[in-house]
Amino acid sequence: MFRNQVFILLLMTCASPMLGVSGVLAQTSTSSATQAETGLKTTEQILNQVCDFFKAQKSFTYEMDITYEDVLDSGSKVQYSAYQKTWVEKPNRMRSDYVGDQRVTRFYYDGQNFSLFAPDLDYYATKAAPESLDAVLDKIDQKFGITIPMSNLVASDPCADMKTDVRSMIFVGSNMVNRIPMYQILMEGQERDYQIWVTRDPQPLLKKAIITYKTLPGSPQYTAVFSNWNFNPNTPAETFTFSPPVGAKKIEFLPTQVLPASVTGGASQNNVAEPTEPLPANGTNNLPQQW
Amino acid sequence: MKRFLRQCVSVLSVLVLSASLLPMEDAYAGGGRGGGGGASRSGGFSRSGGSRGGGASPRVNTNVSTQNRGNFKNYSQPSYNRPQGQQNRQSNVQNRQGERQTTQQNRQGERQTTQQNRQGERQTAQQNRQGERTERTDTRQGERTDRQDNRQEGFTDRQNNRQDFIDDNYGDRWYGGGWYGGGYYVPPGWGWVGLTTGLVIGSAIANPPPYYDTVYVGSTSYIYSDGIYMQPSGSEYTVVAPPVGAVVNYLPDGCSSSQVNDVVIYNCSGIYYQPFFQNGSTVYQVVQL
Repeated sequence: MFRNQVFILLLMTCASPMLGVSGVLAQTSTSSATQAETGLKTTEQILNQVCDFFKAQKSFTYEMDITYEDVLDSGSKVQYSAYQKTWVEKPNRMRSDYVGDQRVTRFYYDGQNFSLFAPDLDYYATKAAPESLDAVLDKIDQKFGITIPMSNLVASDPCADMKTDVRSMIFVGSNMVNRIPMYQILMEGQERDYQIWVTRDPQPLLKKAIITYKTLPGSPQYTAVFSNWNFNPNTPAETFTFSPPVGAKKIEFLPTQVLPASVTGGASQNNVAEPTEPLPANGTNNLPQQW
Repeated sequence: MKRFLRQCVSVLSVLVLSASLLPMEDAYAGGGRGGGGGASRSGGFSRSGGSRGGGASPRVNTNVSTQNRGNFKNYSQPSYNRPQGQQNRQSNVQNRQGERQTTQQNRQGERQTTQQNRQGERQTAQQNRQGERTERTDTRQGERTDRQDNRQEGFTDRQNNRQDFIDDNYGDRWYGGGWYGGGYYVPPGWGWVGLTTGLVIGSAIANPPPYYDTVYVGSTSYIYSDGIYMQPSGSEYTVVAPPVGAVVNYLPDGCSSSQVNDVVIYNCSGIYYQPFFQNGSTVYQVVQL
């Protein structure tokens, strides 16, 4: 019994510096000879592997369990949950079903149109769409304020924007996601920090991501745990095309509202989208004449 | 020392061996791609929704929402739902700092007085001990009874609050206030504002509602809660007519919908709302008919 305790103590004593060294090795550039001997990769190499892998995939599906935080006036935080399934066929098809505490929506993009459907209310809206996923993701955000969580993964260059923002990268260690140890990497950006957990397989796979909005009051976090990755799906074409169910009602998109300058401190806030159409001030713009 | 080093070397060799085997273990544990937990409800992507469109919960005063975020790309989303919330917090922080300073000064003063009193008390304490013991026993018994009473009251209050909360959201449906011609009904969670006969336009309340969103029409801001719109007026909040063009996240109770020329309109006791999608969620805009 005592021997076991001593062994564990020795293991901890000796292993700690070694783990530290391996962390450093993983962080810093080492000679290719050393890497070949140890099998270690740099943090940047792991990240590039993940990014290049997603970039190369043409068709895949995945699911996400999401938690995100809201900060109250009191400073307290509340956490909400959602889950989302996404189907992707590059370069011009995507669908995303989102079921959350605060909204339930389905997004369809078939290369010609995009649609947003609220199944609980039976409302939908459809608009003509650009010809590529990159363009449609930009359009729905800039014009309609629609953000599909983690949709950067389906872009032609999934990590481009993040890499531009990241100032430093830290290998945190081998830490668990759903009880399985993964490589955990922290990337520090200008206004946001990113944490990702990837499998320790020869081809690392993304299993978890957290975005910390560190410049917002209370530094809220957005967490996504990925599951059921399928890189060889056989997705029927109709999955991406929206067909309104019987009884569904068509509604319109309202441009994202711009907060008045007096609220934002005299200048347009960085994170507030500029509408491409004026916001109807009298609310009558979309009504038929007899109203 | 030599023995320790030998043990360390053996432990390190075990670790190196383990490290070389770990990736293989992971490969098996992962079961290839797509392993792990997570939802497997492929056909279960539905949820019975209420009349809430989305956005912030009407039950809490959200200052920052991350609902419409979650991308590595820096999409342009509003960072503040209610900017004035931050101003309030800043003033709270200042007040707290002031309070802390006052408290520290008071404590120092109290300490000095306490020390002086202790010296005086010691002299008479011995004489009075016998008498105090009896009094203390009586007092303790009295205090115990008081505490039990207080606990009971607190428990009942909390139960009442919970009961209100559950009832208000029964069946995943939101029951708010509503407009009824001559004035508003006071919404269920609003009892504390002190109005029992309804909120008429022009009436004022001393405190804001327990939960509300700030909405803007042009550069004018309004407080919205359960179908009721207010504007700050001095130290009070005045109930105003629903401003045409206001966009809210949820409707009050008692609305009926109709469709004319493919446009959906909600009639909320004479106030008309049109549903839209905004920022990926359903919202409702006050419209004039």
